[in-house]
Amino acid sequence: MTITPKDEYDPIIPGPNDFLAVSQDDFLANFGQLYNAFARNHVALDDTVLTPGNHTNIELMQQGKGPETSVGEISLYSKMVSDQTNQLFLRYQGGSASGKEVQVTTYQIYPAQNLAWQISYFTFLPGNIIVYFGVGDLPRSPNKNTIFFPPYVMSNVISCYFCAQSNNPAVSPTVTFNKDPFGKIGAANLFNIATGFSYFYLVIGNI
Amino acid sequence: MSYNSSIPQAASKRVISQKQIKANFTAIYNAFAKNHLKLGPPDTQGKHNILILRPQGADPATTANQTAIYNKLVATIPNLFYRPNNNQTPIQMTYPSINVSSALSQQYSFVAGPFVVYGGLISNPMDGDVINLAITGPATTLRTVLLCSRNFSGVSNLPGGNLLIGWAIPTNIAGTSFTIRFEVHPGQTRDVQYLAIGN
Repeated sequence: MTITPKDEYDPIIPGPNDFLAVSQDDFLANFGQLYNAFARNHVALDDTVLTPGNHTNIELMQQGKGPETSVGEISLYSKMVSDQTNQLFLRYQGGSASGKEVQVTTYQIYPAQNLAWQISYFTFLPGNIIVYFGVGDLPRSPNKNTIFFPPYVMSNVISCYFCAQSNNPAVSPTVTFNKDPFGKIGAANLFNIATGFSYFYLVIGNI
Repeated sequence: MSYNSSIPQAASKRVISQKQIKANFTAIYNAFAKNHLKLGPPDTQGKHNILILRPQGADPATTANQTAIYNKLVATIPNLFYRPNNNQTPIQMTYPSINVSSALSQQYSFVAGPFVVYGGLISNPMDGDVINLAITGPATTLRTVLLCSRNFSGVSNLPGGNLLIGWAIPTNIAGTSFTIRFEVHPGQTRDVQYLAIGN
């Protein structure tokens, strides 16, 4: 149900000299606006099945900066991130000092590139950290030892792990990372590898 | 004035009720503006600006088609929780701290559980070095530790010029500490990346 009030919500009605016939229209308008506003993101006020007051979803408008939080409070909000889009942020409890701000999501603005020798996935951790994982068929990769990390947005490697799909225990590699002309780390070269094997990989880094 | 849900009274004179009703409409307007786009513009009113969550004393009940996101204190520190439908076990979504920066050699973040995810680079360690992640991060009990040798440098020590690389392995994992072990060969150096998860 959608109610069509005649105007916007008016927080200062009724006036002291208004006749009831005037106030009645004002009341209807305000109740209609309240109903419509509350129905957005919330269970409608007249819903007889669900519980009015509960949320149905949460649309977050972009904020210029994170809101202050008090002791015991935690806040969620949306903010624009350079080279990404609007992302979900968390601010820890405040008090005497402002609570720390954490970027929770990292928008997957890029699709995982399909490489003939590699199955690639990526996701994120809170803190604007990207996580690459998958499996590379090294015999088919460039130089037979290279694993790539699409999308190429990682500026710093926090950690990495490579594990052979093999029953040969003597194939744990050492690794070097390559930076592209834009300063992004786009690939790793594996050494001390046993030929003919695929390698699982897990790499986490800062964007 | 705060909201009064008991007005107007049946016997109230209109001059009294007018002030009370107006005060209520103003109180509603001001309260709704918290966390929401203000009442007025029909296209946007009702959406959220932010979501500030007050701590809950207990996990909220969820029905068969409900989920809940809420704030609950863990040792006095607020954390975000998610409860699946049908009162299933609540999941703590956040950890009380995080330390990330491309300038840091040792960092940590978190995943739901909560688990702390540690990562970092140990430059040119010695065989047997003990790494205590609690020095730069929170104290947890490590559940997995993965090591990878990086930037290996060394000379051939096998016939045919092949390198014998002593790759690093973790051992003596206790609390937030582990020991790095690798075969020692003269002239060989390497850095070690670690990835550890604890709770």
